[in-house]
Amino acid sequence: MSSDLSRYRTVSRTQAGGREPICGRSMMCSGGRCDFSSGTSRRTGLVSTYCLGDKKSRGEQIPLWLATLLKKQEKCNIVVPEWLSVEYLRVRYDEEIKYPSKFSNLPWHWLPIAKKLLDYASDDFIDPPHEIRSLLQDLREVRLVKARKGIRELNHVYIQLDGLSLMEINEMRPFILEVMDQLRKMNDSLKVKAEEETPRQAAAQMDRDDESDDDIYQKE
Amino acid sequence: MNFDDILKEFEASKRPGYNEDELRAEDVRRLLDAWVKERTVPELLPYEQELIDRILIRIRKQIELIELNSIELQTHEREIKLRLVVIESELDRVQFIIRSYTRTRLQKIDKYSLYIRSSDKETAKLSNNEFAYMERHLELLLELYNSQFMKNLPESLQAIDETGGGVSMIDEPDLDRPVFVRATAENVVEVDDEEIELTKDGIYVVRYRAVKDLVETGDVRVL
Repeated sequence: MSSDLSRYRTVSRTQAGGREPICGRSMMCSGGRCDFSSGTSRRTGLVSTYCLGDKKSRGEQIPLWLATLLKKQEKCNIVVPEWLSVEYLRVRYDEEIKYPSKFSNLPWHWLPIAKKLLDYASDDFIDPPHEIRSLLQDLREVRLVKARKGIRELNHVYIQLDGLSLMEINEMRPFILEVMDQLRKMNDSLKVKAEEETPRQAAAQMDRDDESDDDIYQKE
Repeated sequence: MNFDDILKEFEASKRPGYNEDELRAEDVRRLLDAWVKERTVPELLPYEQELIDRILIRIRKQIELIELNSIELQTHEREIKLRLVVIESELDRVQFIIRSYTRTRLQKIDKYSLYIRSSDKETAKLSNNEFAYMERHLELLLELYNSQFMKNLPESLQAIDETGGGVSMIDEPDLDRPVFVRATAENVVEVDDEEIELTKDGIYVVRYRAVKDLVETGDVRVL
């Protein structure tokens, strides 16, 4: 459900753990050629306001959707976040391999951000995009395997999924919700049954005792 | 724009501690939150009347702006074109969320209308329009049922809101359905006599009933 979520967030939020560099959904955007503000007003009055100054060639923090839109119009270059570098991703990948039961700390929206930037702004990358692409793919696969292994732990009470990003959660969401719900229902019906059967079981036990007595009797 | 709108806008701008820009960005953020909540949580949540009203006013203004400027487009085309593109794509994004928010609510209203009607607390969660919609929708539905098959049933079987006999005919939201949450503060919740410690920033899947209150206070955010 709501797998579209990440595309519409525009504000940055801190990532779990908080130690790693965080890139929410806003991108740095160096707008040397951006003549946005040459009109009458300095500000683009949007439903949610974003201020676009007339600072030439200085970085400006704007939402990802706006950055890709301007990039498409060839009005700006995007400053790719630090974590989208071969070096950083390789460290993460090694971590994923090293700790098989833990997810390494990646930005909350690493998958969609990486995809958008690779699609629209591959010429702004410092490292070769194809290397980044293949590293991202590796990371994704390693994490997917881990997440699938985690499914074994599913129970009817709760499950903890620290370190997963929103997109990865959304991929597993329908499955996990349905399984947990079914497990819960089965567990509930077990409970009801157990309550109903407590007196009956006692009776059954007595019956069995009688039978065994009979058996003994017959053998004799 | 009518007089009420102007008044509302004026009042909004008078709220302390905010300037107009922050207020607008904050509103869109809150809209996103409301939308995510409405989509993930099994029950119907209170309608965000004021928030939606404010945003709708702004949307209307933006549309007016676009219309106004497209007329003048021939004269100073260059300068204004890019601005219009940006404004339009942002409008698309915000409108998408509002539509999705409304539809999600209507879906729940359709599904639980008998339940919602049965309690004042639930009915209060609806906006005026939603209430009118629910009443009319139910009316049509009953008309259809009656004319198609109910009239042929024995009278004792014609009720659609029977609750006796161990099975209720009124659909209620299942609060025990699990939801994905992120804890923003430390808390302990209880599920089936088992205590779960929620650590800050941890991501959990638990049944909604266990974290319902925490979602309301904001100690837990649904994902």
